[in-house]
Formats: sequence, structure tokens, C-alpha cells
Amino acid sequence: MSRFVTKRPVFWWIRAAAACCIVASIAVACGTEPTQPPAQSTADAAGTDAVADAAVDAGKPVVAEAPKAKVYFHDPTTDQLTTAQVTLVRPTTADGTLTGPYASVKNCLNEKGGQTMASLGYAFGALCKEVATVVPDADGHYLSIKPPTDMSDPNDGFAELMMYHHVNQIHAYFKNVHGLTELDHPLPALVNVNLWYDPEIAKTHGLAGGWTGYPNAAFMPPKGFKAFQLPERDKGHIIFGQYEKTDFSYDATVIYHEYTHAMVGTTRLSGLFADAHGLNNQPGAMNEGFADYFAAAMIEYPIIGTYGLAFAGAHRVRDLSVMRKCPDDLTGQVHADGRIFSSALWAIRKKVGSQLTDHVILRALLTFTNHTSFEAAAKLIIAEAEKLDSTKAGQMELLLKKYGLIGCLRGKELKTWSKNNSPDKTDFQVEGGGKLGGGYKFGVPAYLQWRLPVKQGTQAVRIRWHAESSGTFNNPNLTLALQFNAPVTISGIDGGKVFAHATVVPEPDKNKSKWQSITLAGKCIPYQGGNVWMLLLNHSLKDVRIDEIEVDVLPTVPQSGENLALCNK
Amino acid sequence: MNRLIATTAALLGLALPSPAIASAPRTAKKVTVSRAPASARQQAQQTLAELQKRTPRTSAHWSISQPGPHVVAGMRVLTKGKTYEARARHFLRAHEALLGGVKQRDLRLDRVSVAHGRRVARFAQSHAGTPVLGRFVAVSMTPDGVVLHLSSDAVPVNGVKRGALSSQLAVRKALLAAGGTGWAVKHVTRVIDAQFGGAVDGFAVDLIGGLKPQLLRVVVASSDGRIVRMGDRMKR
Repeated sequence: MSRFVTKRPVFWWIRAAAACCIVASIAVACGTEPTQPPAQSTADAAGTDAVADAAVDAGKPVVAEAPKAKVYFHDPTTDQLTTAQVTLVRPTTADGTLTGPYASVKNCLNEKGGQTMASLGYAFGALCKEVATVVPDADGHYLSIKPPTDMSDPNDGFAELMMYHHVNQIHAYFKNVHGLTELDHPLPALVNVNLWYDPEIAKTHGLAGGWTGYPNAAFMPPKGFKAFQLPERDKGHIIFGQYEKTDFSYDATVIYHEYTHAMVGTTRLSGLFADAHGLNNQPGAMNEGFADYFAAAMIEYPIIGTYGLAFAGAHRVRDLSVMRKCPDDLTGQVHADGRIFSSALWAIRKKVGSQLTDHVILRALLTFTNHTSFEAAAKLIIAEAEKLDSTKAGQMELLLKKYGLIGCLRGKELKTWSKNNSPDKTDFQVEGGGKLGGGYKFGVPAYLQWRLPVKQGTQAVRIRWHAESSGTFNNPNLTLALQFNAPVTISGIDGGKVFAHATVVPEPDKNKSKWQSITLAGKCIPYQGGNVWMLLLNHSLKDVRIDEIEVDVLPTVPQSGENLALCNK
Repeated sequence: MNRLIATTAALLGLALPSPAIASAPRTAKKVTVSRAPASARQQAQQTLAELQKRTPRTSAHWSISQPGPHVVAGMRVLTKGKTYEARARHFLRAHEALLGGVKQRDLRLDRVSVAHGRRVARFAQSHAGTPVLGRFVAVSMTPDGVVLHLSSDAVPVNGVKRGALSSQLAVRKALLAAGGTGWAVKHVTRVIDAQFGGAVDGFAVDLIGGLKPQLLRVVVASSDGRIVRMGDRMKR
């Protein structure tokens, strides 16, 4: 590995690796592996290469007509470490490495020789080395390839086998069952992804460097590898990391999830827009919901990520049989909110049958655009169902209503709340103008409104929250629009406006450092009692993340020092 | 002063530049709702009513930010044409009001998808030959070309003026806005960005790299080089 005397790019990329770990909620140091790119592999691969070469030389068919292999049907946890025998789609390579009509799988070995990562011409690390290591046994099957005894093995061939089999499975499902042909090509897939950072350069920044696991799985669009400062590629890839004892390619549901994202594509369900009640993330949520639903549909089992997501906490595992509804379970985070959609689809599947459900929702999905909301999606789903079976269409409509996909007002009761005690452990986020653009001159609205029930005679209510937003010293530029007994509404005409009873301004709390507060009194609360609906508006470019909220009803109106708002104007 | 500018801009129906967001007023005030421009929406409603007369099960879903309906579902409209694109265009020409002021000739075919007895022609919106970012119209048909559903993000973008900013300068502005080092330019596209509050002519600059690996899209206005918006497009 070349070493260069440079500071900024290296520091920056090592921080990037650290950030990667933070994103995945891993509270351990990353990159604490060996100080040289080790040759951790691959006597097996070398050995099987020799066998393959010999077989090719001898002129025998290397791969059996119906090659057998052993894989996990689901994942190591669900299958209790027991593999099952399957028949693979016959690879089309001469040596039997795992490339066929619809999948082209390579391992990414923790060895020297991977593509160099460079920034501004300075090399500071490398991708693991991409090699197709798996070849058939002498009998043309792949049965000798088993899960490694060490689950942290960054070079195992079993990961290739899992990927090859399950990509072919999901491709066959979409093509043969649903007639979709948009991914009819050998989709490149990379397993055991790790990155190597030069430890000597890393050391100058107080970091360990060395091999660093990639704690995620993703669909990389064409040329997306540049994101890792790696040379461009013409084709989209799916990539799966090996992180500590978690190999993401061992979880079939994770493979199916990423593949479904590729199938949905970028011209559907990729938008974020404002509707009458705030910012609407439902297209992104449905994109995630579809990816989970079809992963579950593939295995006729409603739990996603039993193995591949559990490493980051049990709350990350998604069980579609658990009801999530709008608005009670809304968070503003697409994976969490996607569970509302996927759990509704799963309930429909159970009620009216898998065939009808899948046909109907795929027909509807084809018509979706980037701004399709829950309500619009439901309308298309019901219309498609009515074409096939009006009785079952009625049942589907009832379930869509029950799960809140129809007629959902995106407001939740405001009460004392903590991110760490919430089911999904996600912040209450308000996007900034930097992401959404300059059109929101009234401020970027939150995804959800708050509804505060107020009893008759209430004098004052103090609301405090702990908010973080970069560059604001914990005093983000937020305002709070208020409306009595009905949600705050937004009009999109004439550049957009907010319709509210009043707008008040929270300020830094006097008693709690890094908190903001506002005390509502006077005309800010309804004299007769009722509900105060509130919509946070972010006037800064950066997003705001709230992780704790406190709500206190005060016996009297405070005199001063409580960021009092009376709404007299 | 900023408040005055904001109010004036609102009255003129203009989109405000991002800096106005950062310096938004922090005082309590009352705001009011405005009414939709009648003509485009009324025409769309009239066309929808005609469709509903023919097929009573036809229903619609409306959005606050587009004059036409976002979804019209459950129609049954016969079309003519040798291809699915031609049949979809035949429908759109005959019911152009459903696009809320957008002309069907401003739609470019993106693709025709096939599944379970449906043929869906997907069109990308453009304006005077410039693509309108992320805005699509999908027409769902039976295999014999009967139109069943329409789904549309299309918004009228009249009055958008092309600025003098070059694509090279737009890239420089985008890199500056992205911050840090290590960004690679994937591609630059001339676009119209029709987001909430108005449409802007500019460049979509796609960057790859960043502290947390990202596929960053930065939209730069061609009139004054301001950053219209910036966001990560990577799916995780």
C-alpha cells in the first residue's frame, strides 16, 4: 500500500469510516484489525481453483447440469445454523464460478490487490480484493462449501453461494410469478465488503486503521462506487458487508430487500413533498415498505432482518405481522414508517390471499410516481382490486383504513417523550431548507404535527425539547404554528402559505442547558379547552433533530423567564 | 426588510432564495390561506366529472401543490394507437385538463412497464425541451389499450426564465456548497426544478463522495447561482 504525506483527505476518509459505524449504531471502535493488509485467505480457494483448472483441462463439464449446494433458507438465526440443500441456477462460466444469467457474484477478500481508494490523488486505503472464489467440487456440485466456523471470517466462500442462490430466487420470483423483466441481466453482487485504511496514516490521526468492516448492505447505482473513492463502474451493484460477526449476505431477507429497491427503481417512490399538513415522506416509506413486503412474501414469513438487522439492536428487526398504523406509529423515518405500509399489506395478504394481494399491489405500484402518498396508493390498490374481486376489494379497503393508509391525519398527541424509550429509537426530525430548497419561505414543516389536549381552565403549558442542529448552538431557528381544534394547514398556491391561529418562537430554556422551550398561555391556548395542533417550522438550512420532549401543565401563568407566548397579536 | 421582501415575493408568487429561510422572522404573527387558481383546477374537475359520468367508479386524489389530480383511478377509456405510448398520448390529448395546465406534448416517454395484465406508459415531464426534475405521468392500461388509471406529478412551469449561468460555474457552486474535498462530478443536467413554492431553471449537479459516502444532487439556479436544494439519493 502506498503511503503519502497528506493530512486532510486521509483524516477525512478515516472519519468517514468512523461515521459509517456511527450510522449503524455500533458502539465499538471500528478498524481495529491487523496493521498490514493480511492474506487471511484462501487456501480453499486456491485449492478449488486447481481442481477447476484440472477439470477444464481434462475437457469434462466442470458444473453439474443441476448443481447442488447447501445454503440457509432464511438466515443462521431462523434456521438455527442448519443449511438446506438447493439446486442452483447453473453458472455459465467455464470454471464454475458464480456468474449466471441473472447474477454475477464476487467475493471481496481482505487481501492486497484491491482497488485503491484515493482522494485528490492521494492513496490512503483500498477496497478488499474482488475475486470469484467459489468453484464446484470434482463432482460438479458445491456441497463442500459450508458456513465458516468463525462467523467473522471476512473471506468465506459461503457468502458468495448465499448471494448467488438468493439473487436468482428473487429474480425468478419477480420474473416468473409477476412477469417483471427489468433486471434481466447478470446483476453484479459483491460480498464480504471491507475497506483497508493505511494504519500509519490513520495513527497520525489517533485512529487504528487496518481492515474496517462495512456495516451495511446497499444497492449501488451505476458508477456509485465513486462514493468510496473507487474507480467508476458502468453497472449497478448490490454490495453486502462483513462487520464483526455479521455477514449481511447470510440473511436472505436483506438480499431480497435490496433487490426490491433495484426493482422499484428511481422513477417511483423517490420523492419528498409538502401536503396540507406538513412534509410528507410517504413515498420513501412505501419504497421501504415494498422492499420489506416482497422480502417477506418471498419466504412466506413476516420477519425481516432476524439476523442481518439484529446486530444493531432488536428494535431494528421488522416484523410485518405486528400492526403499525398511521398516525400512532409515525416517526418521520422511512424504514420505521414503511412498517405501516408493509404491515397493512401483510394483513391484506393474510385476509384475501397472497396471489390476489401481490397481483393487485404490483399493478398499482407500476402506476406510482415519485409523489404518491399512502392515500393515493390506497386509491390505486383498491381500484385494481375492484377489477379482480369486488368483495375482496372491500375487505382490502377496510384494512387500509384500519391501518390508517386512508384518512390519516399526521398528528400525534404531544406528551413527554424520549427517543430512547420509543419503539424505533428515531429522532423527531425537521428537515432544513438545504435539503428541500428555497420554496418553503414559511419554514420547512415537520413530518408530523403535535396535538395537545387542553382542559378547560388551563392556565399555561410549558413545552421543552432537546434539539440538535449543526451550527445553531442548540438553538435552531424553529417556529411553532398553532391552531385550535384542527390541524395547521399549508396551502401550496402562490408560493405556499401556512394557515394558523398564531405562530410562536421557542427560545433557549433558562433552566436546561441545550434545550429550547416555549410556554403557551393567554390566547395561545383555548379558553374552553380542546386540542391545540402544532406544526414545527424550520427556518434554517440544516435539519433539526429532537430526541427528548417534556410537557408540563403549569398551575399559573409564569411572570417571566419561561419564554412566555400569549398570542395577543 | 427581509419580511417585506418575503411578503412582496409571496404576492408575486415567486420562489424565494434559500437565504430568506435562514433569516426568517422569529416573531409571532398570523398568516392566511390563499385560494387555488380557479381555471386549471376547475377544468380538471370538469374533465373528471365527465369521466365519472361515463364510469361512476372513477375516483380522484388531489394534491395541494398541483392543479390537476395526482391520481385518477378506476376509469375505462378506450384509446387508439399502434403502440402503448400512442394510446396513452391519445388519452392524454383528449383529457389534457387532467394534467392541470401541463401539455401532453411536454411529456417524453420514459418507459412502458408490463406486469400482470397491465401496460403502464411512464412519461417524464419537460418544459421547452428541458426536463422537469423528478416529475412523471403514468398511464395504466389493459393489454388492449383501455386506460384505467392516471397518476401524475406534473405541474405547470410557465414563466420560468433561463439564466446565464454556465454549467461549469454551476458545478463550481455545487462543489462549494457540498463542502469538504473528495467529491467527484458524476454528471450535470440542465433541468427545471418545480418544487414547492415555484419553479426554477437550473442545473442538477450529481456529486459522488463526501464524508459519509453519498450520491449528492445539488440543484443550482441558472439565474443567480444560488443553491435551490441539495440532498442524498443513495438508498440504504
